[in-house]
Amino acid sequence: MTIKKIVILPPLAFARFGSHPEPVASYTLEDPSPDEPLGHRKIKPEPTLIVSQTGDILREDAEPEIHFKEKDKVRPVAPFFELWAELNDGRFVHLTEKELKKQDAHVEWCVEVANRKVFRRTRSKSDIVSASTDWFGNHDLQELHGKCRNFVAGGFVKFGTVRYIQPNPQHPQIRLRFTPGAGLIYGTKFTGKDKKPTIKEPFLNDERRVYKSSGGWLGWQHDNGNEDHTEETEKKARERNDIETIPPSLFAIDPPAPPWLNENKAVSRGYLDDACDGFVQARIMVGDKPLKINGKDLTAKARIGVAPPHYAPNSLFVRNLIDDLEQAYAGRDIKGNSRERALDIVRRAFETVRYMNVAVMNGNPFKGRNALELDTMPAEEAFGTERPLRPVFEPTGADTRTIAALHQRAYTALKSGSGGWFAKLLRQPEQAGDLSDEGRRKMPALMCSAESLYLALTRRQISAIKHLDSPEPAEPWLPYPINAEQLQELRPRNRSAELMYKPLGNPLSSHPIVAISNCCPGLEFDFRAVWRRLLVGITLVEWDNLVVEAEGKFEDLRGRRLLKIDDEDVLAKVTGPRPSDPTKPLPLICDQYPDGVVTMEWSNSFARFLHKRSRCVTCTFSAEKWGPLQAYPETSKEQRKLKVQELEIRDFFEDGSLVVSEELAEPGELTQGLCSPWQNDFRECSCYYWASARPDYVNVEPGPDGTSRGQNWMQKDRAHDYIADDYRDSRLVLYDDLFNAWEEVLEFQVNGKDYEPG
Amino acid sequence: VLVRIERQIVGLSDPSSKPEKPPELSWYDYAVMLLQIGASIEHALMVQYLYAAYSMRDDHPKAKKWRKVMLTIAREEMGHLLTVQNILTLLGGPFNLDRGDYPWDVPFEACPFRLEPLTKGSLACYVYAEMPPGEEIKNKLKGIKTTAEKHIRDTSPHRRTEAHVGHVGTLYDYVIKILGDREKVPDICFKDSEIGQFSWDEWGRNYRGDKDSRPDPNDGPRANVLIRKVATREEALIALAELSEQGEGLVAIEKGLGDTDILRSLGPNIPKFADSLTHFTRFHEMYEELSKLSPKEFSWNVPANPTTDRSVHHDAKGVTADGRTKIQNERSLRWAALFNLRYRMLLAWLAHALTLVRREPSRSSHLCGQIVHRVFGEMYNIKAIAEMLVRMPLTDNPQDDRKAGPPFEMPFRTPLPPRDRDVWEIHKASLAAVRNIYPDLLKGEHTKVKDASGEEIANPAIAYLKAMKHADHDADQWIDGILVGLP
Repeated sequence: MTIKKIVILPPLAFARFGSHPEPVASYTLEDPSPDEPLGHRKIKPEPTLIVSQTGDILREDAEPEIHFKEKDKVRPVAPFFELWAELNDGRFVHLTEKELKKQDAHVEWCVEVANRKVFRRTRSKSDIVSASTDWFGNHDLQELHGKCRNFVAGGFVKFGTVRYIQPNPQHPQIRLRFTPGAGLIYGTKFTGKDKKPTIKEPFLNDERRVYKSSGGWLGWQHDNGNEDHTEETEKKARERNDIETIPPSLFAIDPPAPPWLNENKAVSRGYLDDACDGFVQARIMVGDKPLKINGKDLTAKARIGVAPPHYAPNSLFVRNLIDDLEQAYAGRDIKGNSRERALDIVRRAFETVRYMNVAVMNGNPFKGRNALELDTMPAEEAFGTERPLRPVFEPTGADTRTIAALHQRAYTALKSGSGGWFAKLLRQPEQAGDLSDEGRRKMPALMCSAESLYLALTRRQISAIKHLDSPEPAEPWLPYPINAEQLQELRPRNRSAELMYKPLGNPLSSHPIVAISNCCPGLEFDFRAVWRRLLVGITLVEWDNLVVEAEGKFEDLRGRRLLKIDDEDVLAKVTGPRPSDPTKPLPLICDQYPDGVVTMEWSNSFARFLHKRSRCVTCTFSAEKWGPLQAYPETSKEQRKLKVQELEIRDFFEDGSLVVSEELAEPGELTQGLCSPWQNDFRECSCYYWASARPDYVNVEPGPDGTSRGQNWMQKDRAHDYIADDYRDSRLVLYDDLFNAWEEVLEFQVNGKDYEPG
Repeated sequence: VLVRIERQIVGLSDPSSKPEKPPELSWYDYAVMLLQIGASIEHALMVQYLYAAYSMRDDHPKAKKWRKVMLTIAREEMGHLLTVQNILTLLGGPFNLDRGDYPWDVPFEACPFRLEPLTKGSLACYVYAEMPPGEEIKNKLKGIKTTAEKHIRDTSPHRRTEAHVGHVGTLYDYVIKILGDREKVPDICFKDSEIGQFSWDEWGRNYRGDKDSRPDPNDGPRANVLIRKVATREEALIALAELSEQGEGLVAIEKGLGDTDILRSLGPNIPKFADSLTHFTRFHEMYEELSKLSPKEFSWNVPANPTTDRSVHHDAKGVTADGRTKIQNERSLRWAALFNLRYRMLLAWLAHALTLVRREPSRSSHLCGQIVHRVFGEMYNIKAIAEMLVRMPLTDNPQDDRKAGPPFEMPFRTPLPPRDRDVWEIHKASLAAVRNIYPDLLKGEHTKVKDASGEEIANPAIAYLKAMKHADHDADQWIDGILVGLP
C-alpha cells in the first residue's frame, strides 16, 4: 500500500456545547413515512461510538431514542474526524494504524482554534484568544486552553479537548475526536481599584474571570462611545478600520437590554465565551520525520467550528451551509433535472415556516400592540429605511399553519411531476433591496439575509427550482449525509461527496447541512467573513464593499470601495414604494442607505465569478477613499475617475480538497462576527434570522377560530398562549436567564413540540 | 340562472350600438345582470385558456413559450373575474362564479364555450374575441374572422347555420355606457365604499398588479393581474375600461367613451397599456407563428370537451350527440373525477372567500385571508392533475393515441348556504368525497413507471396522492378546529 495523499474527513464539522459528560448519540434524518409525506423528518438513531476513559472505542451502541438533554444538562456534540488516504492503486480508504505500521509510519495530529470575537470589536491583537496543541501522536486527552495577552496570569478559556482515538481490533481506523467546551461564559477579573458591577453574575466563578480589567473589554464601547457621528468622524473611524459588526454590538452589555432600547449605547460587560473555530491537521511520520511525497510533507487539514446546540434537530433550514459550500464548489447553475432538489427546498421552506409565528413576523399588530414594538423583519425594515411599518402580506392571510399548508400544497403538486411555476416567485440576489410589496413578497419571505434585508436563496438553489422540469438527466444530489461505503462509491465520480460525508458515530448536528448560512451574523459561522480575502491582495469588510487592507502593489486600493467586478454590480439598489403611488419604485435614501444602495451579500455576489475560466477579474473601485457607500456613478465624467484594477480570485478550497482555504479565514475568523457571548444570539436574533435553528413558534395547534395557537419558544410557562418577543418581559427567557441557565431554559424541539423522549 | 338571463336579452339589437334593455328590467338590474354575464364569460375564458395551455406539449420549445403566454393570459382573466365581482359588490349585486358546461352559450359571448386543444381555428376564435371591434377590416386581420367562423361550424355541428363570433369587449363597452349615464343608473346605486372587495394584495401573489410592468427578462412573460377595488362610479368605469383595454387595447375604449359628460371627463383617466401587453396582441403574435405548424407537433392529442358523464350515449369515437368526448379509460376517468372534485373545491373556497369578504364588520376576516390560500392550494392541484390527464389515455384501445384532458365540469352548485356551519360542512364533505376515492385511485396505479428516458422510477402519481391525502387530513383538522368555535 502506497499512500498518495491523505484526507481528513469530514472537511468541516461542528462541535456543539453541552455540559453533560456523555456526548449526544449519533443519528441522522430520513424523510417522513410515505403515508405522511408532509410530516416531520424522522430522527434515525445510528451506531454511536462509546469511547473509554483511556481513549479507545469500547463498543458501538445505538440508542433507540436520542436524548439531547438529560437533567437540564445538554449532551454536547463531539464529532470524530477520520484520516483517509488515496492509494497508488486508486483506492480511497479509511487508514488504519496497522497499515501504517507496516510502513513504519504513524500519524500525528495538531489542532489549532481561536476565538476572535473580542478582537473583532476592539481590533487589539491582545484580545485574540487562541489554543493549539503541538503535534502529537499519543492517545491522551489534549486540553485546548485558549490564551490571550489580555488574560490574567494562568487564565484560560476551556475550548474543549481533542483525543487521537486509540485504535483497537474492533475499530482499527484512525480517528480523532473533538469535544467542545461546555458553553460557559468567561469574564473580567477585577482588581481592588475596579468598580464592581451592579448586576449579579453567578455564572462567573473566579476561575472564569480570566480577562484583565486593564485590557479594556469591560466597559468597551464602539468608537469609545463617541456620539458625534459626523461624516468626518465616520470617515476617520473607517480609516482606523473601526468598523462595527452588522448588526451592531452583539455582545453582553450593561444594562442588560439591547442597545436600541438603551439610547443605542452598548457598554460591554466584558464577557467572552468558549466558542471557537480552527483547524484539525494530520501528518504521516516515519520515525521523527514527516513522510514526503514529491518533496512535500504528507499532511491534511479539516475545519472545526464550535457552536450552540441545534435546537430543532429534525428540521433543516431553507438555506443551509451546504447550499453555499456546494455553490462555491460546483457553481451557480444546476444542469439537468433538479426536481428532487426543488422538492427538498420546498420541504425546508415549510419546515422553516412551521417554527415562525407568521402573523407576528408579517408585521401584524399583536394583541393590540403596535407591530413596531415587536422584533420582526418589517419592523427592522421600517427602522432601517426610516419609513412607517407595512405588513409584508395581506395581514388576514398571515397564519403559520395556513402558510405552511400552502407550501405543502405546492410540494404536493410538484410530487405529481407537475411543471414548476414558482421560479419567478423567488427573490433574485440582485433584488435584495427591492422593498416594494411585490419585492418583499418574493420567497423566501419574512427572513433576514446577510445584507440585513430580505433573504434570497443561493443562485444554485434558484437554478434548481428553475430547472426542475429539465429533460436532461439529474446531476447527482444527496439529500442527507452519507456513510463510508457510499462515499467510496461516489467519490471517484463526484469529489463533492466529501462535503456530505458523515463519519461513523457523528450525530447529524455536527454536519454543515444543519448549519444556517443566511448570516446576519449567523449561528455556527459568520459565513460572510469567508469572502473578505477572496480577491488576492485586498481585504474587504465582511458585510461591506470597503477595502480595509491592501498588500504591496495594491496599497492604493485601501479605503476605496469595490463597485463592480467584470461589469457586474456589487451593489444592489434599495427601493421602496412611492408613498404617492405604491406601484412605482422610489430610491430609499436614509442614514442606513445614504445613496440608495446596499452591498450585495458576498456569497451570491462572488458566485458569479468563482468558476470563471480565467482566475482574473476586472474590478472597479470608487475614486474616493474612506467615503460613505455610494452608488456607481452615472456620468461618464465621474466614471473616468474610478480606479480599475485586475485582481486574481483566490481558490475557495484548499488544493484538491473540500476544506475552505485557510488563506480566506484563519482560526477564529469564521466566528469572530458572532455574539460574545453566543447566548446573545439566542436573545437578540429573533426567529426571522433562522427559524429552524432558533424556533419562535412551538407546540402549534389549530385554534377554534381557525388561526394557529402555540407558544413562543422563549417563554418560560407553556400554559400561556404565544407571548410576543420582548426584551423586558420577564415571562420570557431574558439575557441573564440564558447566561445563568441556558441548558435548563432552552428546550429541544422535535416534531414542532417540546421534546420529551419516551 | 344563466338560462334565465339569456331569456332576458333575447331579441336585443346589436349590443355595440346604443344600449337597449328589456322593458321589465331597470337599467340598474340590467347592469348587474350584464356584469354577472361578464363574470361567467371571464370564468369561461379562463378555463378555455387553461385547457388550451395544458394541452400544449412541454417538449416543444415553441409550445412551451405559447403555454406560458396562455397561462399568463388565463391569470389575467382571473384578475378580471375578481374585478367584476368587486364592481358587483359596489352595486350591491350578488357575486357570480357560475358558468355553463358545454354546450352553452349566452349573448355577448365571443365564441361558443368549448374546451379544446390549441389549433389555428381555436386560436382564431381567441384572437377575434380579444380583438378591438372594427379592427377586423384591417388587411392583416381579415382572415381571422373567417377562420374562426369556419372553426365553429366545423366543430359545433348544431351551430352550422349561425357561426357567430364576437368581441369580449362588447359587453364591457355596453356596461360602461349604462353605468356612465347618471340618468340610467343614479348615484344611489353605488355604495361609495370599498368594503367587501378584494384587492391585488390578497390575490396578486408574485404577479404584477401594475399596468406598466414589463416581462421579467429572467422569467419570460409575467401576468399583470389587475384586481381593482372600486369605491365610486368613476372608479368602476375606469376598472371596466382597464379590463377591456388589457384584452383589446385602447382603441376599443376610446370608441366607447364620450356619450355622457361622465364618460367624456373620464377619458384622460383611462390607463394606457402598451399594445404589446394586450391579450389581443399576444394572441395575434402566437397566431402568426402557430399557423405555420401542425397541431400534432406542439399539442397533446386531447379531445374537445372531455367529460366524465357516464349517462349519455356516444359514437364510436366516444363523442356524444352534443359534442362532448367521453373519457372511457377507467384510470383516466378516476383522475378526471378527482380533477372535477378539486375544481369544485376550488370554487367552493372561492365562493366562501367572496362571501366572507362582504361581511360587515368583518369578524371573520382572518378566515377569509386563510381561505384565499386554500383557493391557491386547489389551483396547484388543478394544474398538477391537468398535466397528468393530458398524458393519460382517453380510451382502452391501444391503437387510439388520444389523451384524456381535464374536464373542468361545473359542480352541481356554486351558491353556498347562508349558515357558516353548513358552509364548513360542505368543505368537509368534499374532503370526505376525495378520501373515498383515494383507495381506487391508488389501486389503479403501478408502483413503478418509466420516465422520459425509459428508466424505471417510483410512480409519482402515488407520491402525489399520498401527499394530497396528508394535506387534506390537515385541512380537515383545521376545519374541525373552526367548527368547535362556531355556534
